Amino acid sequence: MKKFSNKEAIFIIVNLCSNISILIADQIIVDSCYSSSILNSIFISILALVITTIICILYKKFVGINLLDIAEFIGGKFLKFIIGIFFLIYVMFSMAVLLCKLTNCLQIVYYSMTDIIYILLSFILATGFICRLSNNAFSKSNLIVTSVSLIAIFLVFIANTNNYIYNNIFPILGNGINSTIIDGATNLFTFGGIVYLYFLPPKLNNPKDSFKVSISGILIFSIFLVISVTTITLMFNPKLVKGQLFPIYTSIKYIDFGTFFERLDSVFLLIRVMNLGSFLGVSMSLCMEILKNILSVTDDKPLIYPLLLLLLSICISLEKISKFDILENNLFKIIFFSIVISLGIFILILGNIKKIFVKNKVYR
Amino acid sequence: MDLKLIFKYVPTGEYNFSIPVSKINSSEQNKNSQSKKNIYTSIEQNSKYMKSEYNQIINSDIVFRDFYITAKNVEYKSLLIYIDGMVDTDLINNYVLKPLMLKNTNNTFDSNIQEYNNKLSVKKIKNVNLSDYIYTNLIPQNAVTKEEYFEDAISGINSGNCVLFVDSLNISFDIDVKGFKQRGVEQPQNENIIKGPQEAFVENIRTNTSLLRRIVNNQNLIIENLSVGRINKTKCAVCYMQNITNSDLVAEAKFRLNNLDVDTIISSGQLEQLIQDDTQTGIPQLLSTERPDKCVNGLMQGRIVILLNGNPYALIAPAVITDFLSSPEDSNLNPVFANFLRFIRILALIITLLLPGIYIAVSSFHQEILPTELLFSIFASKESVPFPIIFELLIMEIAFELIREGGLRSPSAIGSTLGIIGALILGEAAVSANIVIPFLIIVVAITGLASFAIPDFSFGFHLRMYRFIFILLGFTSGFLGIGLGIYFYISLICSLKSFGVNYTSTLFSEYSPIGLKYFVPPFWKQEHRSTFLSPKKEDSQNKISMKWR
Amino acid sequence: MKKVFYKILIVSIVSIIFIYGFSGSYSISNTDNISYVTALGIDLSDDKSSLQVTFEFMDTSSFFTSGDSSNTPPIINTIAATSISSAINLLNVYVEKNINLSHCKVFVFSQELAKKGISSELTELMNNPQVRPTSNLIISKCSAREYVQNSTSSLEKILTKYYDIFPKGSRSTGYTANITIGNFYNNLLTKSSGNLAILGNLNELYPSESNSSQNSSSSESSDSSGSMMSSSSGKNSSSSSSEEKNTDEDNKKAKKKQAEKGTISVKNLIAGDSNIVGDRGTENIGLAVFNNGKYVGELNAMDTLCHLLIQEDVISFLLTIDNPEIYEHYIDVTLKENISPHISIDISNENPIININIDLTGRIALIKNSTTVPEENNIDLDKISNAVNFSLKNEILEYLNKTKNTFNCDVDNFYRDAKRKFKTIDEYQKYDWINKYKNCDFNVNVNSLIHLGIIDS
Repeated sequence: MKKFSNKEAIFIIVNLCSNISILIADQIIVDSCYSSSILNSIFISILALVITTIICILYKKFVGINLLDIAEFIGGKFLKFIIGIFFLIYVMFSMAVLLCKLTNCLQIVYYSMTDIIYILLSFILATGFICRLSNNAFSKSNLIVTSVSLIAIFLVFIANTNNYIYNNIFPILGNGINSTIIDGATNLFTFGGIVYLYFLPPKLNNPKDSFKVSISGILIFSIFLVISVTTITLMFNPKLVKGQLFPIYTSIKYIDFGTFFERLDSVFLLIRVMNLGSFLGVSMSLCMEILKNILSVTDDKPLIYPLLLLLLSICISLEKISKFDILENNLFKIIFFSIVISLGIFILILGNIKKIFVKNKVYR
Repeated sequence: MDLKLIFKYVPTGEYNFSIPVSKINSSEQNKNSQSKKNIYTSIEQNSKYMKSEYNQIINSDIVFRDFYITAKNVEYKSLLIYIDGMVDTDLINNYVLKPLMLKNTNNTFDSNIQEYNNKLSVKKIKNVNLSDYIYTNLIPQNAVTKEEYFEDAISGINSGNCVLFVDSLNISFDIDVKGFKQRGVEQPQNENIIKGPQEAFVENIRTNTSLLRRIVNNQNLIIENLSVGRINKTKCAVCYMQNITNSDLVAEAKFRLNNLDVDTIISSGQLEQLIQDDTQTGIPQLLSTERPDKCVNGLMQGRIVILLNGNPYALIAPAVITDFLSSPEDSNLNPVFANFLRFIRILALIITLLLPGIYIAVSSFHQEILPTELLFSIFASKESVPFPIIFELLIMEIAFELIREGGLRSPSAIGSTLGIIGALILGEAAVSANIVIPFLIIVVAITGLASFAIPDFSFGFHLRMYRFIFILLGFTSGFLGIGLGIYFYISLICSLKSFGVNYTSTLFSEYSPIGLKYFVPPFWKQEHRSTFLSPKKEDSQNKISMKWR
Repeated sequence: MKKVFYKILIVSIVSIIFIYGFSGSYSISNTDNISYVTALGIDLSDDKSSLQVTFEFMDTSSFFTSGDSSNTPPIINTIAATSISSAINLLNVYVEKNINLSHCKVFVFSQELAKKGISSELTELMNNPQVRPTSNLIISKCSAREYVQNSTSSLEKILTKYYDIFPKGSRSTGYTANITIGNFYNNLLTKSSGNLAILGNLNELYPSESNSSQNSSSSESSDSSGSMMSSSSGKNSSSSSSEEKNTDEDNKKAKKKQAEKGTISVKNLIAGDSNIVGDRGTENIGLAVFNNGKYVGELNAMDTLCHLLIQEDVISFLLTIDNPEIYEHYIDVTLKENISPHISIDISNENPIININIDLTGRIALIKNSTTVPEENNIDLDKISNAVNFSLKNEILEYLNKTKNTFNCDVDNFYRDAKRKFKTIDEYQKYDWINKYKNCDFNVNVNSLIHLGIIDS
């Protein structure tokens, strides 16, 4: 199995989180917390760091193996299969939701006469090609694409300073502590990259670096989450945020340097397209790896075809459900908390307990 | 009386020739025999064999010179074989035939001759080996090798040596008497720099290796000779620094070169296609250069240089993406200027690859990016043009490619005419005829100029090819296609390997921000060799290299 | 070879499928099939139930030869419809290309329509992905069609550049503001504040086309749905010698009118009170005030300046004050803000108290005195400074009381500073700032430091 360098691993985590944040989560955070969005984003970043630390501590006893191997250690191949399917569901769901979101946006803005299936097919074909490339191409290209995307967000933040209304962060607690901290904790689903932490250790050149890599990735993303949420909070009325495609894209329409640099939103969409392509590549490779692990096949390349078909069918069915926009927020959160946080940590805890039990047995 | 015959010659029958289609078979004819034949002891047999091999009856330039060598007071029948035109006849006459043929005291062997042996003087034994005697005493030529097999002897003759067969000996003497005409060391034709050496490789491999030796000036430079191609057995030299280059890399290079089952390899381009890792994408993975200084820079970094006889282009392996955007001038200039030029080349890469595609995407889908006045100007000029944008763009791009190709192939006499026609076609005439809009001419011209700024020819060529893909993507789906295309292209670049080294190694360093290693620090700061080559010697400079400070 | 053939075949088929799939979008978004609107005017129709939407297109043919469109008037079409989107839809039928709003620089609403309320029209515009949020919003006191028709650019050769530049130039005068449709809509959603838009009107002294619509080539057509469309060319039509004579006569009339008007004090200057004769079809002075999306009044030049001072949106401005030492003489001072105005709100009492501190520096531009020969004056800068402070303070107070009493809305967005005092949105909403604002008190403090002009210093 090809290994990643530390930098590649960090940017994979950042990519997985940043796509969820920009396309879905920023809007939900600002819509639910209003003026306390920045506080909420800082809070969920701290929460994510804590959870990452917990995961890394629980992984200490299992150096160089991933969550599925731990599940196999606990409950044999059957449990491994079940856990693998659950994580596959989460990753496929997140891919489908984000893909639908961006393709919807593209269709509304630029491709109104094009059937959405063609836009979906473009992404899916590109994902298929990229996953077939050797030498961990997706992780290296992800480095470049994610860096460009983060620089773009930073530039958007800087370029919009003229349009900021700094008093938008008041009242400081927004809708109240309940909304900011307790209900606001559900916004942790932004950190979807945590799912990769469970599969990271065997992929690193030095598995002991997984703590460093995880914390770095989450920390870097937290900074950009705060930046993007700040941009939206300071620019827009919360009621305006609710109805938008995705607010960062709208904020770029306000950038205006003289009469030359204006309407750069299509350039941002270009960067978004690349970033989503990278996200799909990373997620699809993760799906391939999960499937390879649970089916115990030697070559994972042929697995790309059924996975792509599955993704396409999920996307088409999501498009048909018109109320999905409302459902996706809650469903995404439920799936994230139940699978990524609860199930993942639960398996790790069980694994640790079993390891202690086995160790004591051997010792006796 | 046929009236036609008065005015012109009409042949009696219709002349019809065509090469019959032969079926691909795996018969013995196609298989070359792998086993080597030993040289016979009988001169007649050797002579017969060589005459049949060289088709002496019909081949006009193969010379078979029979004569007698006197050694040990015995005359031995001998045969000298060489190719007329490839040898220096003076060398043969004065240093081969004369000493061998003319009776002199060296030819008589007297058992009383003593051999010097450090402390003792020992009487030489009576029975001296004839081949050794001829080798050590009778051929006053600097490069003589003994060959046991016909194949090696023939190879020597083909490369311009002469081969001596002596009756009763089952070996032949391969004597270096090369004297064929060749081009002298000149300025590089295609890799010009302003500040730096102005020498370039030539066709002869020995001259090329001598150029490398002169610059390297170190005994650790190893130049291993191989031959590639079953029929023409082209000489190939693998050059590396023994104390710097990773041994596995050397072994891999030699493994690839020794395992090429082809009949002929004439150019380094063919060799490059045979030994590079990926042949599908069209992206070059080996550097091809005619400059010895560039090769030596590569050797000192821990790379391998492959020279091919008959070709003035050397191959440097492994090569990463930043090598294709670097020029030998960068090391000769102040780092600020060099980095500025490197930045310009990145812009040139982006422009060559993406500008036409982005233009067509913006015109077709994303016009809001353009400033209003520019947009209306394009609108206005577009009104009288009947063709769609894609058609205009393709016409101009293809016209540009035609002019470029024509400029390469045309004789120098009409080169200037070509420039005038090109300017006329691409300039005023096309606009005046309402075939294209003026803005498009600017786009195509800038793209063309940018493609010339890419230092490596192959790399620039692949960018020119890929830009058509981006044009198609931009035309089809605007920035969606361009975005996915860029992502796919980046992934393709990242998936490549060159002799075990990732193509994008220098972009992703563990300890520095992405891409920063592309820019060169000042020479006194270049203390470490690139880690992606895993050299034996990691430091190239002391921490404080300017001790005089 | 077979493999290569199959590969090429598959790639070709996939390309054809995608070209076919995206061809629809390509056909409508291609430059050949689009015409760009540079200004949009929306009026209330005569029957008050529908809209009259005016579209201004640039005639691009002149751009080709020299980039100069000064001799080619823009093309103006007006269509009656129930909404802006249906107007665009209907116009697509008449006009040979698809209408695109992505280069529309200004949206002009008539005052009549603004009084009725423009929230729904703005929402419709903001929902359109083509509309730039950085386009300017203008409320015209005349009809929007007249405004659009008479917009001229004499110093700018290209009309679109004029639309870009004129709002930004306000930062050096303070008599109008660069208000964009995006910011307007953002404020509209906040119930706590009022809203402002650029106020525009025709230049009365300019021989406008509103009175001479029979001069321009116009055609009216009606279709079965009862929508009416009229088109005309813009102001700068090429003139014959007889028309030149008319223009000369018009100029004389204009000058006469100007003389009758006399000099208008800056204090009361507002769009339409023109005293400029020349090639100026429209003017933009002052701001229109909105409360909950409905037009409730207007700010004159001085009010606008006060508003911009509080918002820190003016780079420098000229202020004319009475000379404190010589009666009926005046001093011109160029002022600029040193630092952001400090605004603090005290909500401890029943009625909130809004404290505003403004710091300015300035230079004397002109001291008007009775003699023709400049004398050596002992200029008391402190007195001038005090006079500036006093004058500005009074103007700002007058303006703020106007917003409170006349408009009943927080035009300066003091609610943003008020929000700092509360911890949660509920607390803030319970406080009910909108109603509290009507009873608030203002404390304005202006500190200015005046220097002598360049020559005298």
